[in-house]
Amino acid sequence: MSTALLAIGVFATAFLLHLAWWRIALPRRQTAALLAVFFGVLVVWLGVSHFLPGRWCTAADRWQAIHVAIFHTACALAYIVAYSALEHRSPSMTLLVAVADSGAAGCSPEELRSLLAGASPVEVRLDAMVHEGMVTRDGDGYRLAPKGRAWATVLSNWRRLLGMPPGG
Amino acid sequence: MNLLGLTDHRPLVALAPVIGLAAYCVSHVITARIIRGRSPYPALAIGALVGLAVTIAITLVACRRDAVSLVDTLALVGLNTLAALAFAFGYFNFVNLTVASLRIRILEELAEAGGRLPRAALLDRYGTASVADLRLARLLGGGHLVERNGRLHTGRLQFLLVARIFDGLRWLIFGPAYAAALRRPPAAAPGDSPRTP
Repeated sequence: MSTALLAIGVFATAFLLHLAWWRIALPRRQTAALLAVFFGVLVVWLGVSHFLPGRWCTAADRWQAIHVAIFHTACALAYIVAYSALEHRSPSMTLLVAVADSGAAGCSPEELRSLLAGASPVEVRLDAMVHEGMVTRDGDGYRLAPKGRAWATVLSNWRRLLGMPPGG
Repeated sequence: MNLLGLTDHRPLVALAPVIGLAAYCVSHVITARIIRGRSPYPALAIGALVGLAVTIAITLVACRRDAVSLVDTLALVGLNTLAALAFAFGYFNFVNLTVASLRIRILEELAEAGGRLPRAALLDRYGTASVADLRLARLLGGGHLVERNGRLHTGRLQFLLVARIFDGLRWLIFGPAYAAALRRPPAAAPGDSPRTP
């Protein structure tokens, strides 16, 4: 029971810290800030458990500390993955919610297409990939950068291993 | 009998979610290759169930070997189940990236074209209409939207439920103003950022 309470306590501490920070001001690099908050809290807790043992909030032994760290890592990574979907609403979710909000009348396909008309998802993603060094601008086109090639190779091979069709 | 010759099974209890994740990956790859060419999601679901079952089984057996009390056993099973579900969620999103990510598709197109494509060709290939049509086709195919008399209505509720939960989380994390802005069409939403996957 103590392991479960410690694990939930450490995660809740990190989550509340993140909540307080975000309500005060949104950090510019949000994913990096989330990683810093969640893994910073874990490292501090591990340090306290190591240097100040025997307290109610510290691990009783090495395996309890490892157990809490594994739980915290799993939940933190899952939350950070989910967070990227919290920052914006995906095109699919936008369409689903629009249809649900329209009630019994429903929506026509044209209404839904017009809903995404201003979004220009391709341009947003191309700009993002340039920003992240995945592709570079090359005159009137885009050229694959080594980082983008590496991502494309890894994920294409993984998809082929699973026998799945191209995505997007 | 001691599992793996261990006298203390706490390492197995602690590592059970990691072993469950490994079981998920292996069983997913095997299942995906067996049912190749169909929807990727049944294989992901089967893999997730295998991973969860392995995690729970290891935790239960190790707790029994260590004569852990019922209350503590239930707490450890609950903790490891949550951790296994969290790992499974992360793995699902990694695989889903290869299925649904427009960015990855564009990168693959560039690689297949020899590393360069004109901007006009990319915009033409992945115009707003084609993106909307692709999403509408997926939502109709999955039963999340249904068509009646030329108009689209809500079908299965799972994805819509996820969307509503996310709206609630946005309200909690970002505050009411940000969450309200996100309810506007995507072009006006603050989250329509370059980080969109």
